[in-house]
Amino acid sequence: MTVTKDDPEAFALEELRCALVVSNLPAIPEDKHAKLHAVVSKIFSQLGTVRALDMPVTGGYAVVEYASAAEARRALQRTDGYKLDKSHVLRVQLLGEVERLRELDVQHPWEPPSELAAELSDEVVQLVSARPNLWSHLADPRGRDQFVLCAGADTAVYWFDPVLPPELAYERSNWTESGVRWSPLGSYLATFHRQGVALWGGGEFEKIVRFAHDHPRLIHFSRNESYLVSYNAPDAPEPLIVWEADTGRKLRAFPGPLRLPQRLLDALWNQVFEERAKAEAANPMLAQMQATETRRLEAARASGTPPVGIGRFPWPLIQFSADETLMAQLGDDCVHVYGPLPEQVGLVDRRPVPAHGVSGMEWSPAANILALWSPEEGQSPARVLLLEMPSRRELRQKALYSVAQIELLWHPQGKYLACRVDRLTRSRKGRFTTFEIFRVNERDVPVEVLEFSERDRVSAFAWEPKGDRFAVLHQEVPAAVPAGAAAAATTATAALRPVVTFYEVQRDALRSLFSLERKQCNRLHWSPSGAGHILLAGLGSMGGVLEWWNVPEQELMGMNEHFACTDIEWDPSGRFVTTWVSATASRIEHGYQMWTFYGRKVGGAVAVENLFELAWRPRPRRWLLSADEERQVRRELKQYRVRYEAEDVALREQQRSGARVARREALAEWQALVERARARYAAEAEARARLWAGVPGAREAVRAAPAAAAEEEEEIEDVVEEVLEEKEEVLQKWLSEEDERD
Amino acid sequence: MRPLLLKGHERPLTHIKFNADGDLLFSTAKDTRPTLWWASNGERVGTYDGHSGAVWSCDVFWDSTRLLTGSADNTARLWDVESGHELYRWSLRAPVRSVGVAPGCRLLHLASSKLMGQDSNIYLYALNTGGEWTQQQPEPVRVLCGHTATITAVQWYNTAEFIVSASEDGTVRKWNVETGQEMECVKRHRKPAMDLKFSKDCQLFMTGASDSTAVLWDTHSMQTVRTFALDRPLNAVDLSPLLPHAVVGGGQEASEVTTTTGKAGKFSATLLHLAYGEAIGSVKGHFGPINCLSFTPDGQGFASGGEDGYVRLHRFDEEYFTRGDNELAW
Repeated sequence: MTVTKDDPEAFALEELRCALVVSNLPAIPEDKHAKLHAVVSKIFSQLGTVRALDMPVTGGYAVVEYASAAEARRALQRTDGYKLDKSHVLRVQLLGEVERLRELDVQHPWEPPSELAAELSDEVVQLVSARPNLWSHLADPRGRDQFVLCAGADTAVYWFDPVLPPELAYERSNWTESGVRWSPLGSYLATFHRQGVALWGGGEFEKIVRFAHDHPRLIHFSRNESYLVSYNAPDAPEPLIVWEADTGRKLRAFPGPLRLPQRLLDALWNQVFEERAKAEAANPMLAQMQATETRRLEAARASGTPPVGIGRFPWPLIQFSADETLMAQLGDDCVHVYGPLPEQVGLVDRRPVPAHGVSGMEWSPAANILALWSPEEGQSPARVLLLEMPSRRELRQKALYSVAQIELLWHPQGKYLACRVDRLTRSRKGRFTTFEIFRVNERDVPVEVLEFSERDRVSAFAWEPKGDRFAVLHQEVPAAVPAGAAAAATTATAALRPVVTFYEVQRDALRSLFSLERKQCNRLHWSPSGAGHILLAGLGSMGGVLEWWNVPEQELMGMNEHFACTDIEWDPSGRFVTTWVSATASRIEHGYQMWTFYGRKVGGAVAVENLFELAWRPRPRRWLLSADEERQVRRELKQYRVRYEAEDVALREQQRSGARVARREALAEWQALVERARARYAAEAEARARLWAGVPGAREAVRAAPAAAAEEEEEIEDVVEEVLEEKEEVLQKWLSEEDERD
Repeated sequence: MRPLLLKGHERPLTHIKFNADGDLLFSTAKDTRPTLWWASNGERVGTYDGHSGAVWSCDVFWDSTRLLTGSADNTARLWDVESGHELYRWSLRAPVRSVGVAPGCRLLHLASSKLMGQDSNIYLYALNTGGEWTQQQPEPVRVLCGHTATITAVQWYNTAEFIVSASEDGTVRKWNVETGQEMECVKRHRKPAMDLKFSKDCQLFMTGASDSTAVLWDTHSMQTVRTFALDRPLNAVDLSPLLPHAVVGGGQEASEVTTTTGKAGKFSATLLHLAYGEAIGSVKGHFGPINCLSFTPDGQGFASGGEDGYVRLHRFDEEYFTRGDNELAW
């Protein structure tokens, strides 16, 4: 809506919306007026274009006028309640609101409220404060973290405690139709329903907001959970919708059918057809049987819709910049960047960012830098491009040759960008991998290169979440692989043990720190603590072998195994790690095991049938304490430690005595039961005697059963006391003997 | 505790049974030959040849002179233990899943599988023990109808007034022998109940099920006394005649085992303490699921039969009966 001065009424209205009244300014002597004016001006001009700032000398208030209503609204949100200093908290209102109130006051002079009105206003207060405290879980007196479990139709949130068994925080059946997601800062838990997505939060997991989107299948949160993208089906009327998370407002819907960039689409469909061709090659009958299906798929491909099946779906389709002001979507030979959010959802500068052949993008997690890559085409090389947005300034570009595939891997703190480049050898038959590490924060963005030879196949890469290190999992493959013996080659590779090598990006160069040879490992999981701890895991055919390493000390901290383990997740503090067996990946052993960061079990393995999701609740990225308070805590760390340790000891003691009491009670109950059973058995002695009377050959022993059994019962009682505690020993003995035999 | 390995069956074991003295062990398997072993040294005494299908169950008479077997060839047969001669043959219209002789020896039961359009019923027959053993009645005196899925185990109460049966629909039913009426039906397992055994005094019984739980029941009230959640489907349970212990076993079904190591399928037998409701130890060794378990009548050991075709005969160590104080602090 544009407002011109030709329409004075609308203009006045617009003015009322653009202007803010700031009150609670300090009363100051005249000579300091200029200074305060400067301070206020500074505060408000940061948040938008200030068209005018009027501050009477002796008013304690100011009127600020912005260029647009949107800016005024945003400034209002940010400054209302702003602490100018200890005793002055700013009160900011829209001029229009003040005007309205003034008029009201003139028409209806203020009267003390009647009782009913007072009650009503209480209700209003309650309504306003109806939204629960989304951070209440952070105020746990024992500082515990939460995790969510989905098993079958049940979803449950537990408090994890290293001393006590997990405590149920909230539980609900049929809460969601396809799993749950935590928001990136842990404020919300998202659930999926036929009608859309819902966010839950607060101590009792109340429903905070709903997003109406039929049969949602995928969601993606922005980094600071201000926005949410949901996706349902490619041919839905609105397959992709961007929402404002805390209000549920629909920011932008992309009309269906979903259009993916041609390159992505081709890649997806090629994958589908390759898989089918492979299956058909193995089983010629299949081609005939699936002829109709193949025709249907070809038609679908021709119509430009993506294949169904989420596994290969390129998610997230829309990515948010680090400060959440921009969102980007890959297009054909361009990137669509929308923003600035939340006011604008159209293309920045009204045109897409041209990028010829672009096939992948990733935002830096720290700055508004967009990394793009495009493959080789004809004579032009493949490129990796770093663009600063929204200025579109090119920070760095690198051309790469003989490229098959590039993967963009940002350091979690945005310090570096690693590009995994899979390249073709000169003969174009083999492949090898290089990593191009961009030092994004340095002038001119220097690039380090790390190359692995054709015979040194890279299978995984992982940045340390805080720090400058990364780990690469690679393994030697036999030099000459006979063309016909592909199957033999794969078994040979499987038999090889991989190598984990750690590198550090140092000030002057990229250094290899050390290598761990012949490791049973196919997954790298850094602890989020920043202490350089990593869990190396050999899952799948390796059987769930786990090794905990301290990388700075180059020290093996612990090793163990979790059979059939399929998934691994560190808790947000990096003090504990969970390994679990998911029902989606394994038919047996569903359940989880908690470990310390150095690989000691915390509690036993917990069996959870049909467990298909386990996720720790993320913590906010920043401490909620001020810098001063944080320093204070660090200073007093010792006292805290003493306090917490004493608490743990007390809890353990309490638990032990609780267990003793429970055992005593169980024993007493059992003895009563045995007593009753014995009485009953004795009472039936006559019936038994009748039964056996005259049975030819029935021996004395059988007929005398009652007495014998009674004796046995006596014995039970005697032994009960005795046998209780030797269990583990017997087991150990058996096990060791079995082992010897094996 | 080195177990005796009894290798004689070519197919998975289905049932094992000690005689009252505990010197003989009878085993049946999916091959057609029930086998008799010396319990003391694991030596095979002989086999009972005649069945033409998998043998599901057996029971030995109080005096160890007669053996009753039930088979998937739709027959139950009575054998002379010593000579191995077949004395009599009962025919049903479906595989015989469970057999047993009532205390007092006047009745026996045969339970049929729910198969070939037949309901799973319990048939009670009068037993002619006085005169000629080969002269038995071919018709049942009573049929206990009601189970909706195959009956897996049937046990007689020690006064022979009622019997208790477990079924693949997860239910446990109690039947009045005199009237043939169903007295109670309780479903406490979400998946098939695979085994049911009485304690020696019959005042408690335990069921083990594919839902990985073992439940200890009060025979008269049919209430749960203890529930044990294990980490694998159970096929077999037994209660110790000596101590408040139970042994349970099972394992992942062969079709669900992803790797072939013994460890993967959890094919160990687990000892449970009934008073405390805890596991107190486990004995591994089988490389397939455990299908049947039985304590020796003196409670000094137990035998297990597995899908792997072996019977393992264990004697408890001295430590099982004595104890140390070292863990009292736990």
